[in-house]
Amino acid sequence: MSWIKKMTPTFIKRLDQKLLTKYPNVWRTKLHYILFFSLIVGNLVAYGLASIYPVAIDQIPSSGNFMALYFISCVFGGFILLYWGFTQFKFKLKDHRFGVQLMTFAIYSLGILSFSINIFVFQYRLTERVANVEETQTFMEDRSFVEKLDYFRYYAGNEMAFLDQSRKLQIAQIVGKYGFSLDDILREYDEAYYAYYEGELYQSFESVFSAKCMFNQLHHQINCYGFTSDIWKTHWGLTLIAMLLLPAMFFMLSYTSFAVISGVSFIHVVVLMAATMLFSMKIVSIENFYFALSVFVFAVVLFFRKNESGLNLLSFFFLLLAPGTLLIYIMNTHAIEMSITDFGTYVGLGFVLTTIAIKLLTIRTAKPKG
Amino acid sequence: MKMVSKGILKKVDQYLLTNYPVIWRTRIHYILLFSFVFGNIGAYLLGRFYPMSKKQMILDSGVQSLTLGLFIFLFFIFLYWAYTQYKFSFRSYRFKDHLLTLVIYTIGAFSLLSNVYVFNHSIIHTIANVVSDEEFIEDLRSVEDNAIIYRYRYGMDTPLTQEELAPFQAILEKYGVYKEMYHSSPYQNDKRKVKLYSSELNSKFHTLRAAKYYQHAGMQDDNYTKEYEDFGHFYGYKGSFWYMMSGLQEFSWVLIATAPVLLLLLSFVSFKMIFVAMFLQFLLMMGLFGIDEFRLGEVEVLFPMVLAVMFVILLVVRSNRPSFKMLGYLFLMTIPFTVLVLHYNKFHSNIGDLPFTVLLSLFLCLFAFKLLNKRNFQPQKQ
Repeated sequence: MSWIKKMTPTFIKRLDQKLLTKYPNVWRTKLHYILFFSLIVGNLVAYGLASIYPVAIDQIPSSGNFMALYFISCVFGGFILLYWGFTQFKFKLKDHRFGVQLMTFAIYSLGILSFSINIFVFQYRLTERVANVEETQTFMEDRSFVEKLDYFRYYAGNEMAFLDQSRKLQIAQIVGKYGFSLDDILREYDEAYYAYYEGELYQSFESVFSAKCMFNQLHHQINCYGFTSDIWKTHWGLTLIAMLLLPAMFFMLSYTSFAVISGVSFIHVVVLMAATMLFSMKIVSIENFYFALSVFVFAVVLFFRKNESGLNLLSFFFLLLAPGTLLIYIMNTHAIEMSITDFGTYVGLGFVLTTIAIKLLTIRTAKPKG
Repeated sequence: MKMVSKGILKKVDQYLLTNYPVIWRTRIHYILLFSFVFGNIGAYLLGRFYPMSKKQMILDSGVQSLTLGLFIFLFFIFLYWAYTQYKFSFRSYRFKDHLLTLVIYTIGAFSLLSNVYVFNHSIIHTIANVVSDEEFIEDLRSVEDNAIIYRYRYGMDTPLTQEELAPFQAILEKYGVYKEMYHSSPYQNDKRKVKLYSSELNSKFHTLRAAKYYQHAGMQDDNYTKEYEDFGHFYGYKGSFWYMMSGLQEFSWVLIATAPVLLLLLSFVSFKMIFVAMFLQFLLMMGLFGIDEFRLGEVEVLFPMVLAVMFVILLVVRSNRPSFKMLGYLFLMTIPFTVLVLHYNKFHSNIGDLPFTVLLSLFLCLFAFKLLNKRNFQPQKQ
C-alpha cells in the first residue's frame, strides 16, 4: 500500500533493499516492517493511547471497559494479521530448504509475539493509571465504607431512603468522589436484587482494587484477586495459541491459497465438533481423541508418502493438528491461564511438534518439480 | 437419497440456468436443499437422538459449545457460498434483479440460521425429556428437604462425611454422580444448617431446570397454570436456555441485516475490497462507540450524522471514481449498523420489532445500492 511506503522511514527502506538483495527469505516475511511498525511505533502508540485514555477518580474504566478494549485490540490486530497474511500469500516461499522453512516459521511467531506485546503494553499502562487513581489507604477506607452500604441494604430494611440525613450526606460525599450520585446508587438498588455486585459503583471499585493488586500496592491484603490478572494470564494463554497456530497458517499461505486454508480449517472445525460431541457423550476424553488423531494422521501421512495426490492436503491438516493437539491438552490442564515457565515450555514443545510437521511437509510437498 | 437429490438438483439447476439465470447464480437451490431441507432434518435428528440419560447428559455449557461450533461450521458454508457469488459476478444491472437477489440472499441467511435454531430447540427438548416433570420436582424437593443437616459449620466448602451423605445416596446414584467431593455450604442465613453442594449434580439440575423452563415457557395454556405451579417455585428464574435462545434470536437478526448486503457486494467486487471496507467500518464504529463511552456525544446521534456526512461526501466526490467506490461500500455497510443502533438506543429496543427494523435496513441498503450502482457498476462505454 502506498501510504505504508510514505510512512516508512528511509533507514527501513534501505534495510528493505539490503534484505531483498542479501536475505530474500527474510525480506519476503516483511519482518522489518513488523518490527518497526509493531515493536517500535506500535508500542509507543499503545503506551500513548493508554496514557491519554480518560482515567480519573470520577471516571474509572470498569472491568467491562477493560474487556471491551481487549476485544477491540484483538480485532484490530486480526485485521493487520490478515493483511500480513495476504503479503505472504502474494510472495510465495521459493526456497524449499528445511532450515529456511523453520526460520520462516520462527519469524512469523516473533511477529505475532510482537503484536501480543502491543496489546499487553496498552493494558499494562492503563492498569497502572487506574491503580494510581487514589491513595491506597484512602481507597481501601472508601471501599470498606461502600461495602457496608450493602450491609445496610440487607439488614436495615432494604430502604436506604429511610437512612438519616447525615448518613445520606456521608454516602453522597464518598460515592460523589467516584463520579456517582446518591440517586445513582438508589436506582441501582431498585433495579436489581444484587444491585451492588452488578452496579457500576462496584465495578469501578473492583477495577481499582484489581489494578492495585497487580502492582503490589496491597501488601496487607490476604485475598488479593481481580479481573486484571485474569485478563493478563488469559492474554498470554491466547498468545501461545496464536504463536503456534497462526504461523502454521501463514506458512501454508506461503505455499497455497486462502481457499486451501479455509478448506483445511473447515475440516478442523468438523473434527473439533465431533470430538466435543464424543466428549459430551463421555465416549472419549477430548485430549486423548486429539492425541490419537495426531498419531493416526501421522501414520497415514507416512503410509501414503508415495501417493502424491491428496497428501499435500493431509500434510497441511497435520501441520495444524500438531499445535492444535498441544493446545487442547493445555486448555484441559491449565484452563488457558498459565505461568511464564509453563508458557515457555509449551511454546518450545509446540515448536518441536510443528518442526516435525514442517519436515514431513518439506520432504513430500515442497520439493521443486522436475 | 443422494441419487434422488442429485437427479432433481441437476434438473433444477439446468432449468434455472436456462430460464432464470439471475436465480441460478445465487445458488439458492443448493442452499434450500442442503440447508433448509437436509440441514434442518439433520439438525433436528441430531438433537432428538443425541444420547441422553439421567446419568449421562449434556450440560448447558456443552450445548453452548456445540452452538458455537455449529455457528463456525455454518460460517465456513457461508464463506463458500460467498465465494461462489464472487466467482460468478453479477451480469445484470436492473434494479428488479438486485431486489430479487437481495431477497434470495436473505432467504438463504434465514435458512442457514434456522439450522442452529432447530438443533438447539431439538436438543433442549431432548434434555427436558430426560426426566418427567413430576419425578424431577420430587428429586429437587428431596435434595432441598433432605440436604439440610443440622450441624454447625464455620466456613464453606467443607467435605461431607459418609454419614452426612447417606440421605442423598439414592439421588446421587440416579444421576450418576460418583467420583466427586461433596461439599456443604451455609443454607440461606442460618449457618447451623448446611446444604449439599455437588457441582456435578448442581450443574445437571441447573441444566434440567433451564430446559424444563424453556419447554414450558411456550405452553401458555391452561396446562401451564395449575399443573405447573411447582415449576413456579423451582423454575422461578428463566434459566440459561431461555437467555441463550433469545440471545441467539437477536444475534440472528443482526446477521440477517448484514450478511445479504455483504453477499450483494461480493457479487460486484473482490474479497479484498470487502475486507478493507470492513476494516474501515471497524475503525469507524470503534471511534463512534469511543466518543459515546467518553460521554462526548451520543451514539444514536453520531451514527446518522456520520451517515449523512458520508452521503454528502459521496455526492461531492461522485466524479472521482476510486474514492467514490470505497466510500460507497463503507456507506452501504454503515446503514445496517446505524439502523440497529437506532433500534437499540432510541426508538424501541423491543425484540418483537427487530424483524421490521431489519427489513427497513435491507430496503435502505438496496436503495443506497441502487444509487451507487448507477454511478459505479455500469459497464464502461468503449
